[in-house]
Amino acid sequence: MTIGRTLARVVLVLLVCAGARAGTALPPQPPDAPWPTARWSASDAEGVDSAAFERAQEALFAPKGRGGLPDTRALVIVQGGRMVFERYAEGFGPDSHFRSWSMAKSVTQALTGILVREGKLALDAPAPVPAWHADGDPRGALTLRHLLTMTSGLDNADGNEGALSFVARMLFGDLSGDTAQSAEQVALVHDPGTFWAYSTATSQIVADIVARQVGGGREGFRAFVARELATPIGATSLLVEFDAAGNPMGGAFIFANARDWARLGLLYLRDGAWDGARILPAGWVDFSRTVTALPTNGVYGAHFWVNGEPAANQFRPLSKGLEAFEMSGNAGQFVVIVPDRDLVVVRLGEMQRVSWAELGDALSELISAFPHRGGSPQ
Amino acid sequence: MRRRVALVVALVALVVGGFFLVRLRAMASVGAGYVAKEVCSCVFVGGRSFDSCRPDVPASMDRVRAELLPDGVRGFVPALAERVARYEPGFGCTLH
Repeated sequence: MTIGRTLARVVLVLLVCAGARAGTALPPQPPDAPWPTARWSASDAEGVDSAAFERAQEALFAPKGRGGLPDTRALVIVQGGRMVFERYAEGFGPDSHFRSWSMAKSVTQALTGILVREGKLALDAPAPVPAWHADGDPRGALTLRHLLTMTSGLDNADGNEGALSFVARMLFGDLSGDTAQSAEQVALVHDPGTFWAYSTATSQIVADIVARQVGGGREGFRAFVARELATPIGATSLLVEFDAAGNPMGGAFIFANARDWARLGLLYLRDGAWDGARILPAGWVDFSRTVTALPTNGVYGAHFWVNGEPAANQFRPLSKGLEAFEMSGNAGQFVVIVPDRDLVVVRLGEMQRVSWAELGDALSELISAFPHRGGSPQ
Repeated sequence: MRRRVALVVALVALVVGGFFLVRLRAMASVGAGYVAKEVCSCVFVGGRSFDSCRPDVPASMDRVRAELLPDGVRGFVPALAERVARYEPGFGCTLH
């Protein structure tokens, strides 16, 4: 064997490994499934283990919280680009707006991706935050990639001090008046890219970067969301809230109905393209679902969670071995994207009676009831 | 001597009490903000009734009271904290 051929093989293996890190190839929309821009086409689920599915569904809807409502308020499942299941708790329906909590971070990531596609932002350029660009300010080295992968090293991690944590103070307390300023006016406590810490403040910074790039204040931001993301995919119920200073609450407060959360999931399952148009730049979804491996991170991609091996400080809600990446938020909000089963599972509601572990088990059983593409459930 | 000890004890009590009062006010403020914002969004964006929304606030915030306003929700802990969230169509609820 020549050295050239050996090298070629090594390169090929490296390429395959690099691809494998992002997971299974993202499935295209089947030709016979219309894009759900105007409306979802419904169909029966195919190849489902119905006993397992019913068990999981019951586990999601049976536990009732203190208001007498089930913890799960909405469950929508998309298989092969068609809606195959939709159920709501009593009093809720297709028009109900559900809060995102931290799933907002993934929407903010989509808005960032749109501006990257348009060439208005760059992942590896210094993040355009004016407060960081004084001479000698080490924060001037921070990039959007650091921010989106939660590896900025800024001293604004969510924290676990309850009502006095940074995130609680920023969303609801003394730091809530101007969340962008609160989030940005902190020091670096780790070198950028060396330490992972979950930070809602970081998503507020990203949303602020998007807002300043778009311009026009709240009205400008709202118009941008509608024009570039919500209208093209038909997610017209999408609503972003703002703080008193006019900053978008891209870290926690976005609303949409369950069908629109499913559309957002489908956009990522379809590699950021929608009905022939590219919404997110090529490679953006693979970036979203690629874990930045660090001692403190084994399950976080770029403003998306990735089912994998969690670090000691982290938690994996879904069963080991399920290939999925997800938007996830407080009180058990989930938009789970499962490429190897061509599936999107949306679960919205509360977590008064069920724990993360119980919710994760039920969702895992639900997902496992669906077959792999071209295979059977397992 | 006794008076000096009493003075020191009173001073320490004042400092410790002050610390806890500041902490309590900060926690009450977060609670008031949470209740105002979450119930406002639940009612005005989520389209649900005030009575249906209130139990969705975690039990740890049961001491925070909520009052429905024509365009928002007031969250308050008497004598400690008060926050108001106001709704605007198209922009949801904003905490003030």
